[in-house]
Amino acid sequence: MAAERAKGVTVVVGVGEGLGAALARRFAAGYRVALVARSADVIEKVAGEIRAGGGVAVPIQSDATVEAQIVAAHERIRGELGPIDVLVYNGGRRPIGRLLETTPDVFEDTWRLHAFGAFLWARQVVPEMLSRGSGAILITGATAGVRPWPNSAAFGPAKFAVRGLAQVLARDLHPQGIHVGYVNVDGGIDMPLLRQFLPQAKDEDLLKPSAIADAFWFLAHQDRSAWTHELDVRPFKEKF
Amino acid sequence: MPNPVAVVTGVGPGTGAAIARRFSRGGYAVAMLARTRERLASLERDIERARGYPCDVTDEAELDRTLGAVRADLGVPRVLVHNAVGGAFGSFLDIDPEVLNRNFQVNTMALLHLARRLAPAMVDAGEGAIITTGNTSAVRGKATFAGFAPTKAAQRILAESIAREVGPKGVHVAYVMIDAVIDLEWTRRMFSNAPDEFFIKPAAIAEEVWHVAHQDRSAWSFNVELRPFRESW
Repeated sequence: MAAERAKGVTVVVGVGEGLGAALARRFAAGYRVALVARSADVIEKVAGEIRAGGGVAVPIQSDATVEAQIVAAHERIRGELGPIDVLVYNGGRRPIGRLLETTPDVFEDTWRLHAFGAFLWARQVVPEMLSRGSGAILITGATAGVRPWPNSAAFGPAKFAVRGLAQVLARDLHPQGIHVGYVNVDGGIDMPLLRQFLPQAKDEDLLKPSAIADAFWFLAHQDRSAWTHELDVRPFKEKF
Repeated sequence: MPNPVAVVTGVGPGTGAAIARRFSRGGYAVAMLARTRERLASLERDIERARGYPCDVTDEAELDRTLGAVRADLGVPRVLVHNAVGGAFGSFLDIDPEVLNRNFQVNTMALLHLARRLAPAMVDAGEGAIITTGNTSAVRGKATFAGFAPTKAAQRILAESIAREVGPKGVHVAYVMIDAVIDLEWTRRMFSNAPDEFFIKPAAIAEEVWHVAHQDRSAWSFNVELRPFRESW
């Protein structure tokens, strides 16, 4: 199946220094890749690296919570790269706060980034996937989507929402040939921001972005007689 | 470098054989355990570096002898795939209660017996994998599954207990939950009107088992569900 899609298109929505960049690099091995984020710096840097390595990568600035911007981004990707085979929705941020520490704005914005953005992007890419009868939509999940901590007053409900959306999409779209995967990243990801918060963390306590990206790649290429919907990944030492 | 060793239980013509083939293709020497000697003999001829060991996995003395022979013939196992399964259909009112006990021995107790014998060397090596093939009975008891589902639920929880204990020591324990009818001769007869797409392919299951057994340890999966794209769930 990898060969079939080798000339296809993958869109990674939500590209920062950590997982998003690793996902874009991983999928660039077999796809033309669009890197989508609100700010330009990281997507331009990573797209440049991919191009320098012989891949095809287009950085696209777009806010995943604003429908008009998503429509425009989607049009640009279709025009410059072609129809989309794989949508990787990695949008989101992780505010930390208990109920009384979380403002209504933070709560709503977090839900918009995680759940609403995935909904809007799926609405863009699904019609063409349906007409072909194939495609993959892969969504980044988190522990908080299964078992949120008290300080995940905004993040937990947002992750529950996107996980619910993923299950709806899977039951709707699997029989029509579109694979929907939800990757529950059950641990801290090794990236600069997290290292700042957890300076004492050892390498083995954290998930490598490239290893998570391998899991996404694997899901995107499963034989359709044996599809996985929800996949949990965690470091070997992680409690669960 | 000697070939790494995988032990696969319940090797019949379907999933077990496909798993043995996949690990052989990946460079493993494969110990195939099953009760039926004849089947093993033909698979031995068919699969490179695979050896058959007729064995009842519910019999601890037999397991000791068999695993001793595996270590002597092939080496210390790096991977265990517990694929042997005892099944039964029927109303709880109609089944012989002993059926549940027998299935519990094959599905759950045998996993315990095997893990107790194989995990310590994996822990010493700081690496290894123990993978069990299960199905939706592990999370859902349907009518007429009374003689079977309780044993798969117990098996999954046993695997989880072992995972949480040996995971931090470098041994990956995972449960592959197959939510489908496997494409086999007898299932084709049972569902003679079903299209190809109805079935899960043994080779596709084997590919997933192989993948899980070789995940980077910074991103291990425990529960892995597999179903055909058309399956309702």
